[in-house]
Amino acid sequence: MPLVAVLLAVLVAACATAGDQTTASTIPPADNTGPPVVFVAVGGGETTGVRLPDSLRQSWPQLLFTEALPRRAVLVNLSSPGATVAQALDQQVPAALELGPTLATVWLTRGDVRAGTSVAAYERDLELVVRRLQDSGARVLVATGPPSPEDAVPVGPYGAAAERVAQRTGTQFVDLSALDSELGVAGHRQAADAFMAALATDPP
Amino acid sequence: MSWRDALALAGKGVQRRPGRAVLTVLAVALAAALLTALLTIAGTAETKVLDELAKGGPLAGIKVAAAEPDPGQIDQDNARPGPPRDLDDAALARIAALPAVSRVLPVITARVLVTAPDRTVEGQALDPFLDTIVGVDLSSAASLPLTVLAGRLPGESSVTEVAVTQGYLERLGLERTEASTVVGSEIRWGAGRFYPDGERSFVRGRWVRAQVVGVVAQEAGSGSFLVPIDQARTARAWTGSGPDGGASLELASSPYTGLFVVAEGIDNVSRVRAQITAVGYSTSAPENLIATVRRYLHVVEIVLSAVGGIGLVIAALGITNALLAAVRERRREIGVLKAIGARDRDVLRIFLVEATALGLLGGLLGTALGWLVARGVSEVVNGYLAAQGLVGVRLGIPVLVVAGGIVGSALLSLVAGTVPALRAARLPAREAVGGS
Repeated sequence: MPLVAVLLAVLVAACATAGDQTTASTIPPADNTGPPVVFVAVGGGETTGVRLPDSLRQSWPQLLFTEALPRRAVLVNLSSPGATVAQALDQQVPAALELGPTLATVWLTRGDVRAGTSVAAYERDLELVVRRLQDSGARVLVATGPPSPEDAVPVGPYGAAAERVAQRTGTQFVDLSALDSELGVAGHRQAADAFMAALATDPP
Repeated sequence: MSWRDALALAGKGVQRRPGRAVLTVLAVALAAALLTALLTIAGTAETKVLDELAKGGPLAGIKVAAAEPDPGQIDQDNARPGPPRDLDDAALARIAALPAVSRVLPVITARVLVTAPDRTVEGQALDPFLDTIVGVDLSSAASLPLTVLAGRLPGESSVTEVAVTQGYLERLGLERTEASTVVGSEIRWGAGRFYPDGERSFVRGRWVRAQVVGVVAQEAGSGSFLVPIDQARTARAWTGSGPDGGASLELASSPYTGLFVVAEGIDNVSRVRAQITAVGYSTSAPENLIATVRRYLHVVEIVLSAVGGIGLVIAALGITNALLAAVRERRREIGVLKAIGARDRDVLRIFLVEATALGLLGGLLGTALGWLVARGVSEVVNGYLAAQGLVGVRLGIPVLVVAGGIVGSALLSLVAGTVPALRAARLPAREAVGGS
């Protein structure tokens, strides 16, 4: 009888441990549902992050992309350093429209200040940029920032023009003129926070 | 004499010599344990290897490159491809229509710039790096050369999930055993597109974010990131949509980077390879390696069977010996039984019941012990496989082996006990009583 008891105990132990072989994982599905979110950033060096040591992680579009948008979002930063509004209208906006953006930011000041673009021409072309992006169905944020440390020309009139464009087109205006003109890591952080605050009024 | 009486008398016989009964049971148990362990291990090996070979899983797969075949490389497992040749939907359809082709799975790769925001190497943020995403049809993952080392595969249509390979772990300075630590982290990658901008030109990234849901060993394509095929297709399309068609970023013109062709069984791999070569594409398949593995597995099978057979013979001899000794010791008891009317067949029945009971008990004990031994071996093997970056084997409870071990032990004991039982049954009563 003791032999039978030992045998039964062995069998029970074997059966009890037979079920823990599974290595199946229970990683939950990543955020994968909802309409597509395509974020395009139109702008100049302020948007590219030319003064940053690691623009792929520290630029404000990347911060906005990773911190404020759902994981399924796509970012295309079309900015180019020194771009004017006219150049953006010619190069960046057509590229943006190809992407079918749902969110677009427009921050173009320094290139026009440096190029000596008249405020009137700046305002006219900026409105075209915004309206074309709006017409594609994108939600548009228009920003203005501080002057470049190398520029002696005040950017105030351009900023005022950008604000008027925002009012006329019914877009959100993001005033970044109080940022440090160097636009370093901290500046991009502050810019990202300002854009996030604007987005928070109606999250994508 | 009824079976119950025979059983009671056999039990009394066992109780009279418990030491010998225990040793007999142990002999049977050891033989059964040996056989069960060997059959379970061999069965698992067969499931994991031979079935894969015979029925056509990833091991029956042929990799087709977007290149012409090099005539000097045709019989090589890892054939060096010839000049580039586009692999498009027409080529895919043509290969899929070949005889003995079970499935054709396209592979698309795309070069991307990767950042891993929350990973550091020796305290420093990981620098962005160029790598390749490998897109496959993950709804057919079972047919692909993929092994999940940790976590799981991305969802077949997910746009936010990725599995990484050991190459990524190495980049992070992680060992294979630390694979699970990257599961749940996020990476971002950008496929580049060339943009002319006046006199200047820029490369603009289409950035996406993805959660690492698993770590895999994969041979579908060369790259550290495994994604659903649509993710790779989108990234490739973005690069190719530039005004230069992606040429500045060295994008190949072939829509598919390669194909993974599954033949209908390992025996058809050579035939299918030859057909694909005739269509005009370079192929590679581990057929020479597999043939060698098959030969070795067959040898192992023979050796295991021989070891098990020796165990069985030893057990049978042990039972025979124990019962012969029992007959010698119980001559007087046999004589008394016959004197009070027991027939030869009654005595035969008592000894056969005793042999069968001992065999059954030994079989039960040995089968349980054998399964535990097989399980212990599988734990050791799994530890080795995990260290090698391979997925472990899963040991089930082989019902046939368990049933066969128990019933077989009982039958073996029955056969082994036949000679002593016959000797006991034929013992004349007078001689039996007198001999005591």
